[in-house]
Amino acid sequence: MTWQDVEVHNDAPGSRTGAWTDPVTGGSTSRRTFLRGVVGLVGATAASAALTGCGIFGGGGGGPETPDQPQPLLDFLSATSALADRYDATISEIPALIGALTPIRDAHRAHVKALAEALGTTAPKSAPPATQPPSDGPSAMTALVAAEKAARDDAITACLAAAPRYASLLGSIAAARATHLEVMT
Amino acid sequence: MTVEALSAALSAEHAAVYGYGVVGAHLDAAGKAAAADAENVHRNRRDALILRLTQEKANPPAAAAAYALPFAVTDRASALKLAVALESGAAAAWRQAVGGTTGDDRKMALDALIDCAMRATQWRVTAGITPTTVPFPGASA
Repeated sequence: MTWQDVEVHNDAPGSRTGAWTDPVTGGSTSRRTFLRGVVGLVGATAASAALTGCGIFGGGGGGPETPDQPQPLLDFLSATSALADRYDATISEIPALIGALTPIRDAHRAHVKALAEALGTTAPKSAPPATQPPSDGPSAMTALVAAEKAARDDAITACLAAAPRYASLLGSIAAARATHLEVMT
Repeated sequence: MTVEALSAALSAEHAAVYGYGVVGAHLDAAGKAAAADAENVHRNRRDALILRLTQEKANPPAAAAAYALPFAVTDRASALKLAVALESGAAAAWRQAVGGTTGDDRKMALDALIDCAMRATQWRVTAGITPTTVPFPGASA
């Protein structure tokens, strides 16, 4: 922990409002707080959250030296990889869907990478899905929407059950899947 | 930890409630309705947070009298961009809160993170901003 970390850690929310007082209007009756300041505050809290997590669990950030790979999260990683594989299979079956599905497929792959890193393990290799996707566009989309919905619900369940250090990542994954459904339906 | 995480979320919700007042002023009737709906959701979350922090015997951070906008909002396009920024900012605070809470507090934080991410996507679709989704809502880019 460096002195900068200590500095950040001590920036309790609400204690810095004065620092955002507009230097131009600071002397007038209205106090101005910058929206940008709120974003800055969130950043500072992010750092302190990580530090506090460190303090509570004592074992560092779960790096390779302290392998901690809860089975439910390893299963979640495999399921995420399989979900990306379903998108790959659908895209290769129905090239017309490439524009709509590629960004979502890429997000799932990014989730696989981030999960594997967080768990200190290697990402599963992509493989053809067990069942071939439907060959017509509407049926293929219906199948993917159903898979995405189930995956969103799984991410919510995983996030609520996870140790604090995995919770934010799983929360982002749940939110990403919800936004996928937003643009798919 | 819970108090710190929820206080940061409350500050973001204060800013969102203020910001949506600005957003709505530059949109057509349908846009105004969407902005009013979003503002209402943020207001309800703000109130729930104040209640929750008071239960924890914490001192909930107050709203500022006014907020300087991150960029000039003069028309529909800049108003929609601000709406995306408001939801993204709130999502970032809630993402942190997810990691800084447990139990019902985490559920509240996760519900909020998901809602903010979905609204950010809806505003991007309305504005024609691409990509319409991000891989890690609430995470710093």
